[in-house]
Amino acid sequence: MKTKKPLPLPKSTNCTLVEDLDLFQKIAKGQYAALELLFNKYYDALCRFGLTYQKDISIVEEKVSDVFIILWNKRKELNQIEKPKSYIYVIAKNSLKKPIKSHLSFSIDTQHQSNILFSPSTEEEIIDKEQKEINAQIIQSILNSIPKKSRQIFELSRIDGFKYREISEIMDLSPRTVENHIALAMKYISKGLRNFHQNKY
Amino acid sequence: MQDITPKELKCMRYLTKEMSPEDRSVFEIELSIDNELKSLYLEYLNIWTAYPANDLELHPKISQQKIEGKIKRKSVFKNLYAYAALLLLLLISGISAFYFSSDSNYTNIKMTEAGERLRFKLPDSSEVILNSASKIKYAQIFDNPREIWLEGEAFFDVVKNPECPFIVHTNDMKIKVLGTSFGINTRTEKQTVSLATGKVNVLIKHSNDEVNLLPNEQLSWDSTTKEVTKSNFNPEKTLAWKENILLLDNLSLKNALPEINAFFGVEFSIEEKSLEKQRITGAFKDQNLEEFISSMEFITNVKVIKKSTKKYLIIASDEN
Repeated sequence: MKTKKPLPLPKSTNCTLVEDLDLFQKIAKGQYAALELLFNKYYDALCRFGLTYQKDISIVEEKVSDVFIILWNKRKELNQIEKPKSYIYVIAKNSLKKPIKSHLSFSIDTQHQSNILFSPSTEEEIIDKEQKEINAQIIQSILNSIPKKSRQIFELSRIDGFKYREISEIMDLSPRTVENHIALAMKYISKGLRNFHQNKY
Repeated sequence: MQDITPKELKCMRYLTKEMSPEDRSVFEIELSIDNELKSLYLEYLNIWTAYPANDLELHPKISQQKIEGKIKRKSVFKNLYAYAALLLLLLISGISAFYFSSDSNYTNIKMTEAGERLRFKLPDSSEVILNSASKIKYAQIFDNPREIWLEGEAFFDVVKNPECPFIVHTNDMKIKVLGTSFGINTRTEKQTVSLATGKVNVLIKHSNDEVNLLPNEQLSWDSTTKEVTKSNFNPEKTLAWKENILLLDNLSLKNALPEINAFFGVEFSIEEKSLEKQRITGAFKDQNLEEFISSMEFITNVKVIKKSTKKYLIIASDEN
């Protein structure tokens, strides 16, 4: 069984704001290397974010790549952007929501992530860290059964470190709705986790 | 399921740091008196901290090449002259490539292939020695600050200029110097900055921690465990590669192979288990692959067979 590592807690967007602004300035000046740094920083997160709109990961990767080309083409305007991180996510969202021209690849394999099995051997001596890894695995298996949108918004908070207010700007929702989605996702997960433990013992 | 209670909202606000400092302290007091809230919070905290990292199988390198291709293609056609110059330069140097952006401030790129080392000077006459399979980029306008982007491993001998700090960016670190000499290795999971002389300041991007290094100190950053350690190191050993020396200090053949392979950019392998434990010691200076093979055959009683252009098999010598 593949072990699943819990994700370290995110840095809040304020911490990286200065760095992102700096990168945007450099891209605006035509420094390609800065675009690469931005790519390394956000590529994985954007692909994860994009999976809500498009199940086929290879299409997501292509669309996310387009985000960086768009950034480069618009580089002259980048030094006026005040919230680079939100800006990138909005571009990603818009590019992923556009219908795809070729419909060759319909994805049927939507459940493949949920098939993580739990071998009984992991029930042996459990220390905190291991327990966390196990929980991470159980949570992973629950994630596909929670509402897609709630999960996406929850992850914008938990993984990307966005504030409620920032998420509401990116997703065009009221902060209130964002808060409800996040609480709902958590509720689903905790219920799933409880069910899992009840069935086991 | 749809009804969300105020307690649940509160716990989430606390975890997502959406509360003001005052509300946080109030919440913490409530936790200590309300057992129901406390158990809910602990449950949520557990999920929050254990939330899994995503393990998507992505292909960032391919995407990056595509982006680079699309962006560069455009600008190359705008600059036919530059394109001609690019070809010429490629022919002359074979290893260093210059890409042009549509602006006059283009990026210089120097890269080495596996098994190659390259020594060159930056515009400010600081010296760079690039180890095998590494890449360096810097803008043509290289003054204040002097900035460099590195992938792989390199050694820098920086010309002192307090007015223009010298900054090396890697994926995970930012290394700031005034005038000094040091090596950076980002090729392995354990990334290192090794200071030979002077003083540098290393910023770990992940944690925003800053660490100062003194001569003969080495900082290692483990990209998987996110652990930072500082230790002393032996500059002659760690930085031997820059003098084009492959240093094997009493290593078993098994442990020496990755170093040999990285140094020459080839693939040696052993099939006989008994050979793996055989030890090898030596400083192989300025040797090409053929010379190295004959030295190794001479000092360790092994024989090297060439399997294909870059693959070699080590077997026991039949002379014993």
